Amino acid sequence: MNQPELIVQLQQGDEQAFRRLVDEWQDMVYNTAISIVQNEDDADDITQDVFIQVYQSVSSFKGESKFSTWLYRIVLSKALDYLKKKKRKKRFGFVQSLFGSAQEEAMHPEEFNHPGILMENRERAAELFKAMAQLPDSQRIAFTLHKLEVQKHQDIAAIMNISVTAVESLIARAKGNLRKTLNDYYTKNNF
Amino acid sequence: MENNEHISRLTEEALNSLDGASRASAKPYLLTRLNARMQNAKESSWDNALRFISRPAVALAGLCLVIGINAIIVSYNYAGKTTTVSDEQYASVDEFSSTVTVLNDIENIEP
Repeated sequence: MNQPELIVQLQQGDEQAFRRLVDEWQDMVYNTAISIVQNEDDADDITQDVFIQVYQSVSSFKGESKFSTWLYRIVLSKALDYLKKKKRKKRFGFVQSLFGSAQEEAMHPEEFNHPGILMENRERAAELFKAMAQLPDSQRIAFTLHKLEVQKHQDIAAIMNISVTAVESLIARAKGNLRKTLNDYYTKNNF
Repeated sequence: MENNEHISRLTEEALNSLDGASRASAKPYLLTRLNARMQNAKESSWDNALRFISRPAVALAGLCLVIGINAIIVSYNYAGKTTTVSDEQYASVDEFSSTVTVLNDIENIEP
């Protein structure tokens, strides 16, 4: 079954088609979510949210863009919404800490190890992920899609609805910012 | 100088640490968990509706609304009927009073 057929069947509410969709795209959705939110449980929740939204709103998919582009947009929007909520919680946690009842985790996030990273690169990658968390959203998305989803610049441009030149600029600025953050980190910690 | 080179090397290593990474795999039984969650969402939408209706404030407001509508309907009907009845009543009262007057007149006729 090809993709347009699968989408038509999904729009008709076919459960088998939904099963196929989940089988085919679950790793892409999960990998994108985990690369942005940097937490396995949260990425799992986002993955479920994404597929539920796809099931509910597939009828609105007109085929003007690629299905993968549409799906990436849903994942990224959910992941960014999640991060915003988490930031609000952190702020609330900080206020609570002033009264002595904050959770430790809110102030000191755990180190994140992406499950797909090669063993020998894990330590360095954990430092890179910390630096990535400080990037502005657009740079983080462009860099993540480029590095962890190995997407072409044209596809990233379609997903982010910007020009290819803008994508190249975002990736270059992301690399520059990461280089600076990592350099400061290694200098401060006397490596 | 040597330290700067060392830091630059570490930085570049970190920047390239994502090269060759594979996709992280979703946790197992995703479809089962999705189905369970969608089923729960369906059930809970009915639960939420029932819970909303059974809230004291909502129930009281509903009750007031029903009583209010009933009161309006009754008052409209009552107002319509009283007008009709009173016209008929006036007519019959007038007729009766004239009859009585006529009868009294008969009784008061002196021989």
